[in-house]
Amino acid sequence: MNPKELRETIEVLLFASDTPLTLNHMRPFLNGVPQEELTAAIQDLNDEYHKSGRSFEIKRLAGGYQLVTRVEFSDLVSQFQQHRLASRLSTAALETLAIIAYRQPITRLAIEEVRGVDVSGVLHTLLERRVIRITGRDKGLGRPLLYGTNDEFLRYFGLNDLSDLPDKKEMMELLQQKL
Amino acid sequence: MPCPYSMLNPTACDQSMICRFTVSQFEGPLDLLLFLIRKNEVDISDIPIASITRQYLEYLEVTQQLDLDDAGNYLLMASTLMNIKSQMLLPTEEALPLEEYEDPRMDLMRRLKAYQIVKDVAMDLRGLEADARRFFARAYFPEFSGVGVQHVEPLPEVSFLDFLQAFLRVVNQWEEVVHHVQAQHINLEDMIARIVTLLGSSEKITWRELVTEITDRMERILVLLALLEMSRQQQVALRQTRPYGNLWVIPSQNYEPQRAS
Repeated sequence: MNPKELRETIEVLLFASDTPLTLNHMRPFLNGVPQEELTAAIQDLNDEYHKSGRSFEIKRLAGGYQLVTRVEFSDLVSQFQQHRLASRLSTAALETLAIIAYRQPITRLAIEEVRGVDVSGVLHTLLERRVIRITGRDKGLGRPLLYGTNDEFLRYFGLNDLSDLPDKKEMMELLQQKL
Repeated sequence: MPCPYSMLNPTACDQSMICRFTVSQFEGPLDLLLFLIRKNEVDISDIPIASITRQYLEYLEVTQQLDLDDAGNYLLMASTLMNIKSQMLLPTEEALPLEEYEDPRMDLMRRLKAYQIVKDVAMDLRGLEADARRFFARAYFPEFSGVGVQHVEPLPEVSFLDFLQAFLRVVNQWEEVVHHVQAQHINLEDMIARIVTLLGSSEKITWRELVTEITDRMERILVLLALLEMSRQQQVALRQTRPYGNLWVIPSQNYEPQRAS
């Protein structure tokens, strides 16, 4: 596969996909192209788009790559796609997500200890919006459900993986403490 | 005189001096406490507990319309505050060495610090959310179906919650099953009479002969019940030559038990 074919293959796969594509998703169609060449080709494609002034670009999201519109066109596209735009998350939802993101898997009770209020309604909303999922059950008393973030969480906040979250070492430390 | 709580939130006070507060202004008792600490410009590690407690309780009084779910959390914090306040007022019997003294505010301070960080991170997430809303990914177009392209419905990820919802949808759709019950035109006694007539003078008759003419399932069952009843009353004997073989119905008067030879 020559460099042009490689770029075309990647482009057509990204174009035809509605979710972020991981390198593993693409690999079966690329005849054993080594990973470095693959990521270099993606970079080349992106450079090509920028140079030729395309309205879209390739973005790293939720551990994969996706074609997205460029930020400059956000007003236009959000008007055009208004019906698809999900409502913003509430403050309560964001606080709950913040705790889950940094201390997953976590039980409902542990979240409530930090926030000082009941979070069952918020958890339900977050589950419905697929930004969190039930990851299992705690071994403790009553075997309560454990919650963790989902790929949709990364996608919603435009992150590639959890390490893209703001570095909050103190957050982790404080949350680990028994409150 | 201006409303004494206008400093809490000036926009909540209108000219009629009626304070309109809702607890939902705050995300919970910790949020309210952090607000009071900020407003009083005091250090989170050295909270003037008496004055903060007083303001906290004043706030609760002003917010008469406590949401019942919320009320418990706010009142629990109020009691925690008063507990800390009383602990700080009590003299210790003996002066403890400094390293053994635990500030009764310590626990609350830890919780407030943790919650403050959660609030900060929530703000960061709000920013990320805003950024992420400025680009759009290509969507799935279900109407797309190219020539020669096998159209396959995508299988979305299904969570436990989806499953539960799907289950509830089905449960709610369950209609009551309607059974059609037909009145029986023949009862057990009639059937016995009919069998007696059929047997008539014949020496014996097979089960199969009794039921061949009968198509109705209930009636066939009735034949069986009638035979069992007749057998019990020793009007007939039921005999078989081999397992699963034909079942002979023999009127008792014609039946001679085999004598042991």
